[in-house]
Amino acid sequence: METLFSFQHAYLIPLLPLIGAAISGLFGAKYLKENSHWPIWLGVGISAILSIFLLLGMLAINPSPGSAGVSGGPSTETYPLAKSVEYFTWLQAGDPNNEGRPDQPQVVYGNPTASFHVSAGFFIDPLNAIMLCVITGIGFLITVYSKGYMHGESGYFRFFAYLGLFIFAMTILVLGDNLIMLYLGWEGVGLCSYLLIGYYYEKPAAREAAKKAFLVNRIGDFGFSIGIMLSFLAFGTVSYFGQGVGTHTGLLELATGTHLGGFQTYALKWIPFLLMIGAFGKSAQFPLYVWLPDAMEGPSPVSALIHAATMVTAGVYMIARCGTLFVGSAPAMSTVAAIGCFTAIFAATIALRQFDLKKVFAYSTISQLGFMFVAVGCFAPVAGVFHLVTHAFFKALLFLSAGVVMHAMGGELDMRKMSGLKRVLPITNIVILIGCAALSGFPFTSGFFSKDQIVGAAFARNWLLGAILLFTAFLTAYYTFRLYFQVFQGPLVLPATPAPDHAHDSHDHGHEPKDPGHEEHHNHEPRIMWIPLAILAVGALFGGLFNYHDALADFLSHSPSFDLAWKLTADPGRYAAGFGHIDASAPETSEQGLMILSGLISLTGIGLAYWLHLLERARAERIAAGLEPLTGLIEHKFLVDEIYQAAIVEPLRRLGGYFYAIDRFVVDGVVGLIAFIPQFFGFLLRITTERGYLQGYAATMLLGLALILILIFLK
Amino acid sequence: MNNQWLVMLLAVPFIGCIVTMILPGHAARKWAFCVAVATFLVSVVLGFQLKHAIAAGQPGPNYLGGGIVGIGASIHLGVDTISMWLVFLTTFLTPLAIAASFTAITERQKEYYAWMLALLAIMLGVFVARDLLLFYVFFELTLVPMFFIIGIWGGPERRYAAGKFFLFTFAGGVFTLAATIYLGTRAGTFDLDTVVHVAQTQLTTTVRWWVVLGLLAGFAVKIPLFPVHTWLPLAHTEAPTAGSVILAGVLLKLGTYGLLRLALPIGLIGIDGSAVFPALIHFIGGLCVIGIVYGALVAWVQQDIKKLVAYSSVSHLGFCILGMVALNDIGMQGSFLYMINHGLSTGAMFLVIGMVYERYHTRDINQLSGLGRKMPIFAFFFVFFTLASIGLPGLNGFWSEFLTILGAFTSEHLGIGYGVLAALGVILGAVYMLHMAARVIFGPLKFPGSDDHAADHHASHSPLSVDLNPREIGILAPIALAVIVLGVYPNLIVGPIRGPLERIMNVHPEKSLGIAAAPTLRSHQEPL
Repeated sequence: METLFSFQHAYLIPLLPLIGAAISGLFGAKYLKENSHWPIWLGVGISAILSIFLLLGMLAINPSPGSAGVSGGPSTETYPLAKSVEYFTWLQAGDPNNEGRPDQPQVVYGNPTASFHVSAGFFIDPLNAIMLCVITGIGFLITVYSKGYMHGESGYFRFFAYLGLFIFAMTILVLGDNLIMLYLGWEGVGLCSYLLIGYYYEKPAAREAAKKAFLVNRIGDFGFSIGIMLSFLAFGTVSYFGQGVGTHTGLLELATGTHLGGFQTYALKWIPFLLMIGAFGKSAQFPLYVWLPDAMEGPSPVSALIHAATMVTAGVYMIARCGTLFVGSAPAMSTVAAIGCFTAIFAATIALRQFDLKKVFAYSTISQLGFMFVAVGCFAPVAGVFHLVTHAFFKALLFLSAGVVMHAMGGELDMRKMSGLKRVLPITNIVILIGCAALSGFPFTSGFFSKDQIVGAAFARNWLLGAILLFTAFLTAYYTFRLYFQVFQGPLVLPATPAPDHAHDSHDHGHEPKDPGHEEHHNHEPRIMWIPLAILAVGALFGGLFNYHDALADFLSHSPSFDLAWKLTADPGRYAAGFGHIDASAPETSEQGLMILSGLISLTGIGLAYWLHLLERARAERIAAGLEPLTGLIEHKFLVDEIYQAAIVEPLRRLGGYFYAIDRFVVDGVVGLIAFIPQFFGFLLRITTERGYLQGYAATMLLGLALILILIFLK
Repeated sequence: MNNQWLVMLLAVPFIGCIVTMILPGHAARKWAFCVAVATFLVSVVLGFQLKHAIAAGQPGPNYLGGGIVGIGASIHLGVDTISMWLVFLTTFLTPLAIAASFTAITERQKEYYAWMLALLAIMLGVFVARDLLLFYVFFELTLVPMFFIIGIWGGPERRYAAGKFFLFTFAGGVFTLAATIYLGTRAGTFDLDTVVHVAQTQLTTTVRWWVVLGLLAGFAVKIPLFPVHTWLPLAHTEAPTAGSVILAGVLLKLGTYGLLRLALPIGLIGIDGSAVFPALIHFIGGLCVIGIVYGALVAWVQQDIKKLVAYSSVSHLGFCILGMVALNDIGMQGSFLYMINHGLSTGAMFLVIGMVYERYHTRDINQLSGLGRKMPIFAFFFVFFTLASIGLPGLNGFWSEFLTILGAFTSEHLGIGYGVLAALGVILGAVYMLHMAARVIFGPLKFPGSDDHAADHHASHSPLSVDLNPREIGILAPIALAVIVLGVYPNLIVGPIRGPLERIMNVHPEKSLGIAAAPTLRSHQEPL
């Protein structure tokens, strides 16, 4: 693999978008202006090419499939597709001589000179090769789309600079060879998310949404950072594989050791729970999902790239990468699966009664991320990564299509105010239909295959888990096609005037919001916008082929993160109890039956949507009115935001007020007392000048100190 | 061999200060700026000398002047890497603070710039003093210029603020003086290394207890540790911009430096590197953790953005001291890095707040909103330093915050609980800083007088441009650059300071637990 150009120069993958961002950011406002997208196009485009070549190069090496799984010797040749490269030492605290040696981890506790070494380095293996292609590939398509979408915005250069910065941070996140690099990317994408949600910063809603996203993620990062610290305390390193796979110097490998100390065993109970708090924050899982729906205040390409395709999947990546830390703990795995499952059905329920296009897709994203968490929690990380990839295609497609709708409707997104848009937006109609089909798991689309694998893995673990997921899949099919039939089919209805509170995408537009009455004079589907959509649609349709004959599973088995975790679960001495046998591939039994079942469920959901939202639209509202208290609760999103505000934010803020009151009281009380003393002395010594007693006091002190100095100097 | 550059370091600003007094008034500010830059250059020369000395395995630049035989005090100056980085911080921030005063200070300019240069000389004196009495003299002398800077050029409540500042720090200093004199008489000399050695080998535990309490009294007020922080918010709020920058950037570091250089080796660390008073360490650590959370929550409810940043210092310095009393490399290296980083990012926050105050004469969070639209360059710097302050990885604040928490977390003196509580403070740190950024930079545009058109008319006659002018950008850009450099390559500071820190901790390489010995020696000791 060392011979691959893309491997030797892997640093270019994050660096080029960063350089592009710097150029756009520094020179965009004054010089580049309407050309500010070029540095980003070039940077991200070349990164995408490098990433694809990296993936293709890896595939071309083609070690015999599954060899990693069986040979099992502790030599690095076991994983020909996994290599780490260190560029420089980012931080070295403590004595570097204390670094752990092979099979001899560093003892941190009680050693005041323990070495904390963090390298600025990459660990490249099949897992992040796939992630890189998704990030830079879909990222590039979205930057192309954005040129059309953001045309005429006043902060045009700013938008592209943030996008470049985001691609930089996200590629660092997946490339890093240690938990701190992961954290760097983690916070970096959080920052870009903050800046891009707050892109229309003058809108109070965007401002609050941006702040909320950052702070909720901070709560997750709290757990994440404690998890990193505990890992370091227990294993003396934060590097994934240390000096190389097989040397047992890295965290992920040490955790698989057979002679763990008492504290290490204890720490391994906690580390997965701490890390998963971070994953729940970034990937918007219950109870930290609340920021993602609000994040739709950002421009639609941002929703597509950051809040659907890439950043929010970072949690899934983290758990897949740190698999060996997780699979050793049955409670942790069950928690991941349970939270994912609950989030999936919870968010899908809310999506049933949302009327804003982007909000529906946002809740859908939360729900689909829940599916991915179920996958990684059920020892099927391949299915999780598979769904991650297909979801990236079809959800990016859906958000970008929503962007086209928004653009054409002058910023309007309320689906009750529009209908029959297929006459106005014919291309979008086709691509969004493909996206909706993939999201609903319509047979033989990409989403069908990936979702089916997750449901299969869930059934293999626990029938209830699988049943809930199947029901969620039904809800998904329903709410997706509710949206499609409502907006794109039926009689043509266009929003009368752009709603002022939804006008954020037309805000600052150089051109006036278009009058939808004169459709034919404007082309709402410029080529620069529909070509990326078409490419994504192809991916959404045929993405299922990625895992044809378990090709993805074979490829990912060359990633030590996956392989070591599988070995761990297969180790009968330590982990088999409580889990049963976990196979790398999806369970073979009743696979066909399940496929048919989930296909039927998808079709049922679509059918229901067809009946309620195309044939007889009034009926849906009648049914909803019949279930009043429940629908009201769902429309208010189960009041979770209000509960958080009342239970956490307000009490803390009140506490701050009390503390401040104490502070002032202490100030006035104590200082009043102390101030009396010099006043007294000042009175005695009669040196109080008209400037006030304190200056006199200071002058006296100055004299005294000067005297000491003079004494010292004279002698 | 005596190093004349060390004397130059103090002499240049001191002579500059005297010359300022005889210069014509209008020339004072340019002169003061040039003197401050010259001092910076001297410090750079010193830095290179230190680097060469370390590379050659020699002690750093040293100067031994005359002394008073009877007292045992002498003019002993010297720098090691710890002193050197704090000297850099001082000589780096002072020219910027002086440049930031050009338009803000319009009255009694000569006096003002003379005090600034005097302050510079005195602060540098603290960091290079190798004599306990000399250290104390410089340490207390810093009060005088700062007292006048706050008291004469400060805000409406400047008299009260200056008085409180002076009294609090002086009251603490009295105890430090008593401890200093006792140590000097016991050791027969005020030479720092000798005093430390005597304290560690000859003093009884009871005596060390009282001595360390005396030292702590002065340093804790200066740092400031909860609950003796109450002078700080008012002093910061009332001080002119440059005063706040120096106060937060350097003066608070005198306390942390004193704690590191004196209180730790004299009172807390035994000759074998053990902790002498474990309970005291828990006490200080507890105060830090309370201060972190308390300062953050109080900062959150402030209406005055300058006061908000001032309270954030209480929270930040809690991290700094928490790392220090962890008494391990990770924590102490992080703590020292925190000193530098806090000086940079909080200093920068005060600078940007000063720039907005000069334009709108308000710092009220309710009167300012959406300035990003009107002042994009200002908004960039504001958000940038906000992010540095909340510890975004890649910028300077991250490593210092992470290392101090990790130090406490892995320390056998503190433990996991302290680390977890401090990490909660990190969440709150983002809460109040983003609260401020959201109010000032984001949202609909609003500033005092934004509703009437007369304000725009008035603004056009203001000497200041709408957005930042080149001078102001020139002030902020070097700090921004330093923030990025230290975020990407923290080893610049963290690496070189390990030697002096391990000397303070009494951990010697041959004594440190090598990897071979560690598992057998310590495997029975585990954190839980």
